[in-house]
Amino acid sequence: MTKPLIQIDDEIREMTDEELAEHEARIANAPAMPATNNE
Amino acid sequence: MATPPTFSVGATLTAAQMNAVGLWLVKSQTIGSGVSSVTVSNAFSSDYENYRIVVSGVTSTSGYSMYGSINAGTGSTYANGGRYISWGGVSADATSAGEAGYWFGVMGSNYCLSLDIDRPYLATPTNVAWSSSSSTYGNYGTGINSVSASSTNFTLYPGIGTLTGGTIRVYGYRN
Repeated sequence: MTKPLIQIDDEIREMTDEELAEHEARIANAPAMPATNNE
Repeated sequence: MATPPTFSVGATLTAAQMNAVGLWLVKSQTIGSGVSSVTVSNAFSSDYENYRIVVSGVTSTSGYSMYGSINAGTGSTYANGGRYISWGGVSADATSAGEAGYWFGVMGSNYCLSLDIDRPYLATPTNVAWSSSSSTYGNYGTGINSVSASSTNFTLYPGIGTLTGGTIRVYGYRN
C-alpha cells in the first residue's frame, strides 16, 4: 500500500514512516470544526 | 515621476520610490497532484515582520477543512475562531482550542485563501486573520499559535483527502 504524498517546495514523494506518523497525529488533533462532513 | 505602481518606460526608480513599495513577492509555489500536505520552506525571515499568503485554484474534497501550521512548536498549541457559510444557506460559528493547527475554512473545488500572518519569524505567539472561499463554502476567521518561537516554514493540509493544483504565493509587507 502506498503512503500519502508529501510536498516540500517542489519535491513530491511518499511520506516516510516518521512523516506519516506526524501527519496522522496532526490530522487526529486537527480542530474539529465545523462538522460539515464530520471533519 | 508618477507614484508607483505607475511607471514610464526608461524611468529611473529612486530608493525612496522603491522603499515605498508595500508588498513584495517572497515565494511562489505550485501545488502538485494528490498531495496530503504541502510545506513552503524559508518563507519567513528577518526581512519582513508581517506576511500575506494567497492560495488560489486548489482542488480538494468538498466539505472538508483546510488546516495549516508553522514550524514553531508542535502539539496542542493552536486556538481558532471563525465562521463558515454554505452557499446553500447554512452558516455557523466554529471555535476550538488546544489543537494542532490553524483552521482555514471548509473547502470545495477552486478553493482560495487570503491569510495575514503576524510576525511568524519573531519568537512570539503567532496570530493569523484570514478569509477563504470555494465552489461550495465561504469562510472567515482568526487563530493563534501560542508558542513563542521563530518560524521559517509553513504547511497546509486537508483534514481528509488531498490537494491538487493551485498556487501558494507568499508576500512580505514592507516593515
